[in-house]
Amino acid sequence: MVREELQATAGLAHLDLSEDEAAAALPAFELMLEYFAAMKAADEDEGAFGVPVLDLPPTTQAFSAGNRLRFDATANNSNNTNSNPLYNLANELLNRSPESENRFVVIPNVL
Amino acid sequence: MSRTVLQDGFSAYLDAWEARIGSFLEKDAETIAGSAVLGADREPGYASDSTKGVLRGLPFGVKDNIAVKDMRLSCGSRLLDGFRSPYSATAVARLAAVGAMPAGKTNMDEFGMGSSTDNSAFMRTNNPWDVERVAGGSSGGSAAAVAAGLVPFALGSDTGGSVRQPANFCGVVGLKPTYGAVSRFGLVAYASSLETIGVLADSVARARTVFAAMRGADPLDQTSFDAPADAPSLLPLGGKPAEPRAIGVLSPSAVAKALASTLSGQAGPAGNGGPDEAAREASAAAMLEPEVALGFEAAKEGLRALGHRLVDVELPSLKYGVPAYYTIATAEASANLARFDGIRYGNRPAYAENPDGLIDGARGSGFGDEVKLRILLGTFVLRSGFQDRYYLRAQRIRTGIRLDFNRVLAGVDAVLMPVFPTRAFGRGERGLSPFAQKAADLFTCCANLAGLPALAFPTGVEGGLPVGVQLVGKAFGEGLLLDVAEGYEAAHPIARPAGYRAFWG
Amino acid sequence: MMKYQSFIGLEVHIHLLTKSKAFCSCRAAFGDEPNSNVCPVCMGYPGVLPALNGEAMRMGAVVARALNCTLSPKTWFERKQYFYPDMPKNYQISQFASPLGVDGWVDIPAGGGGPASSAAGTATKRIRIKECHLEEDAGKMIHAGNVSLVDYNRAGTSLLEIVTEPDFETGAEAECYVQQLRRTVRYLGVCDGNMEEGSLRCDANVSVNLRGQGLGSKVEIKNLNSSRFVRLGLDYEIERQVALVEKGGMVRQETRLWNENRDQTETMRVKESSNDYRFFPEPDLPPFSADAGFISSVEAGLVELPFDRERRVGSEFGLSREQVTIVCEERAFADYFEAAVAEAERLGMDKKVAAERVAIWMTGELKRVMNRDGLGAADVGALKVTGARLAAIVALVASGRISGKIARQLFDAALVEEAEPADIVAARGWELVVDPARIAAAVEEAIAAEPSAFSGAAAATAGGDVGKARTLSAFLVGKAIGASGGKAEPGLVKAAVEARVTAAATAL
Ligand SMILES: [Mg+2]
Ligand SMILES: [Zn+2]
Repeated sequence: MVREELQATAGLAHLDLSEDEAAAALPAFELMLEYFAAMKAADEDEGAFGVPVLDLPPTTQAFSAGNRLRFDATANNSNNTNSNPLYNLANELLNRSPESENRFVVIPNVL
Repeated sequence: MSRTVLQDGFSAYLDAWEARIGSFLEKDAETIAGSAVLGADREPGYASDSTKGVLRGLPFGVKDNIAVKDMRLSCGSRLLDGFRSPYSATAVARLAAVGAMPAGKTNMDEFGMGSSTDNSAFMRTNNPWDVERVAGGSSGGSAAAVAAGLVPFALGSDTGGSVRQPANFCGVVGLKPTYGAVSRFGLVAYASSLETIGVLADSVARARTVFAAMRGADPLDQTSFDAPADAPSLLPLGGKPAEPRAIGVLSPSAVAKALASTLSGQAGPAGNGGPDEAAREASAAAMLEPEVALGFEAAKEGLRALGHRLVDVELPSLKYGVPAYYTIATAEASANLARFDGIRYGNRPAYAENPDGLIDGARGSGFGDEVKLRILLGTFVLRSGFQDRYYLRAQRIRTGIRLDFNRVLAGVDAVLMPVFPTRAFGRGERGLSPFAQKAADLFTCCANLAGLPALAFPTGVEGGLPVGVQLVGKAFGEGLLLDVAEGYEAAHPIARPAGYRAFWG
Repeated sequence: MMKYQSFIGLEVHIHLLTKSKAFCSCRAAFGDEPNSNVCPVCMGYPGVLPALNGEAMRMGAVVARALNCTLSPKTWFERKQYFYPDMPKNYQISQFASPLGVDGWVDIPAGGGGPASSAAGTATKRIRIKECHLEEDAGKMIHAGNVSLVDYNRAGTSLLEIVTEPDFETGAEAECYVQQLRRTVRYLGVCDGNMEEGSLRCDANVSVNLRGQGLGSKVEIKNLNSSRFVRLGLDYEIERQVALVEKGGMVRQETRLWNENRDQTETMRVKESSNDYRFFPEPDLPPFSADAGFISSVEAGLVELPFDRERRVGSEFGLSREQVTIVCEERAFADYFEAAVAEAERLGMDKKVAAERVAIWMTGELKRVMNRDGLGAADVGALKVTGARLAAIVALVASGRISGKIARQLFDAALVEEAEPADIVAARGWELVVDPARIAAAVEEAIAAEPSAFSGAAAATAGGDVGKARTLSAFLVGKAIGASGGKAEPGLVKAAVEARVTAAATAL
């Protein structure tokens, strides 16, 4: 059962494990999941949290400090400035693609 | 700080150390050796003038998961072997703006996943105190380079202890800032909500200067913040004694005991070694090595002698920290590492039948086993039907740990705890199992879960290896931690490995 | 009552007209060179982070409000994870648990009678809007033989997804909704609504069931890239499903594509149960709270929507339904209309008369010229003939200062000259002659030139032959206007000719 879950998970993650690789990864995978499953003890461990842990809201970020929005302006492509290291890089980025042609990134087609 | 004038023999010194420890994956020897000092603007994509600023002329190492324009950015992974960054991290650019010079990329566990740096796809990094032992990880290259005196400081990243643990193993200062205090822009993401760029330095004062230069909100990272106006000052102590503080002391043995009693009997899916195997191994891994315990007691004495008031504190939530940490970290990692597919950059197989084959091939051959394991775990805990049990429960525990720290820190200025249960471990039989290495993150990962600053500093040498402690503080309270540690350092100068020479002023 | 009931829900994605992309400062534009508007962020490079575009949030919220949604007080983003070669991070930053707006509605004409029938008095049907959420678009793939070519210019541009409840029953209703939504977002100025370029894309889910049995098993339809295909595709699909069920078959849960060449839907993929997007909150972006400043910027962006405006323009100005449809097609066109009428009123015209005259100009001459020049109704603001200038022309005609014929010349001149119509008329000497002496002179010239017509008219008048008298008088009026070079005011000329004829008749 866990082994099938491991392969299904590998499929979602695009890791494409061979049977041997899956077999090799399984013990560590199971051990860690067992460790994770032990978190269930926290549900009733009021000694640890003061309240049942299920009453606590999840934290997705340690801090927030008000809204953060970017002003809608385009980068000036002809005038690369030090304060903004990201722009005017299109050609450089294209050069990093393993395969490109006529400014397109090339990958095999589904045949 | 004055500009460094290098003494003769530095190049030979560098080469000799590198042959023994292997800390750099790529280095600009001229910059490190100082011949490039005063070379003005090297134009690595940001304004830099090595003749000006508080870090003028100082070279620094950069962990290979932090972008420096035109340097490699492999993250210790085959998948990114040969990849060069088209841009620089904000932290790097800010250091360059005050005269520091990125001098090379340091070795690391692949994508930051590991505690030894042995998970690098490229090479091992040895501990400068004992080359048979690991430098720690995942910022092991940075720690080793600083410990050997090859650079005065280096950048690392700390997701669950990856700056503090190798700093501790190598006997240097390791600062994990408050979450968001330093921009993450340019740090290749492992677990976005937990990690920060941190500093490994040869002194507390240096760590302070470097941190002060890097920190502050960055429009390119909307999770970065300026410190509030009432945050403790980052002004150098300048030889003055540190103000006496109330320091909470966490009892490591109490934590280990609590772990053993809580985790056992909470079986998940039956593992090969029986339902309690994970719990047993985890509580065993939490026990301090005698030398570490000795160092911890000595540090308490030392702090007391400096006038600090030590009080016992408890953090009962801590025992859930590691599984919660690994659940969250692997979940975020599974998404963060999805972009590595060999399409737009990086390495891809020579032939693939279709896009899926290309992606599978690139990831299958590009990632190492530990990275694959963590991606699998992270993918699993986010799957529908499993989220509540794993990911969501971990995020609630995280809230509990945050509140627990807030409660304790309302009564004390900082919490003192060990960094890692062992000193630098060896390899093979003398090493720690991969699981034990993870379980041993218990003292470091909680600061990441709570987003709090933590400073690891060396306190002495036990059995030929450095030992040290860490202080965890209130959010944006780095200044206070640095003050206490700088006072400690003044009274107990940092020990250096044999063969160390001080080249940096 | 029909045996079967059909349920259609629509998911419309619109490209917001932000200058930059949703999470980076790259230009958001259609039709540029491949992979030219890209940066490390939208190419999913290692180490980069998204930075949320405030204008995308505002525009998205404006649409949500216009569709009567409630804005979420606190929103955040999730990562929706799946691998696809045109999606650089292999996850999409999207809103899942906290859409910008929820629980809205729009009214469409019942039965989907086309937008024109939305004017006053038509029965309407309420469509529930489930939610509006903001997300990023992917790049584009071109399949070329054994390779695919990927262009990431579109990757990371801001998309608003508008999801309805399954409230449509026919293709016509869905078509009507899409057309109305298209006009709405154009009115709001947040999307160009171009379906061919993919700025507005429509997916649907369709099910049929025996009436009263609730939803059937759902089929997703993609590639409905014109409002006509929405109607054709959905009607086809409903028929297909009914026929299938009638034969005792089962509808398979799948995704189908509309094939516009064969006028049918075709299986694209059978729904995999393993599609697991593993949503979790995006840790790189802080949550967003709709504060007072944001809400007021959203409210400020709301305008009267096409449906409401048609109703008001129809009743307030007394236009025909056809005129209303044309005048209200685009917000700029309707604004032009109302500005022109207001100006004509200011110049002393009666409102309804002015509205009728302006509408005739706009639906006739103005439209003709804009079509000729390749301008759409939304481009009316680019014309030199502003609403106020058109009003001036209309008023000049109404006051008798220029003739209808001159008015057309004036309009043509005003199209190319940056000048007020009155000034053009003065400069060209196009104003009608009203001076009694000059009118009399022209009339005398006509009488002298056509003595038999004049005497005939007098005789017919005297003899009571009204028809003949009128015909001959009109002939003389024409001659007199001709004698004035076409500038004599026709009413005055007519009066003068009639006075002369009557006098002559009396003298007989
Ligand atoms: Mg969508
Ligand atoms: Zn971009």
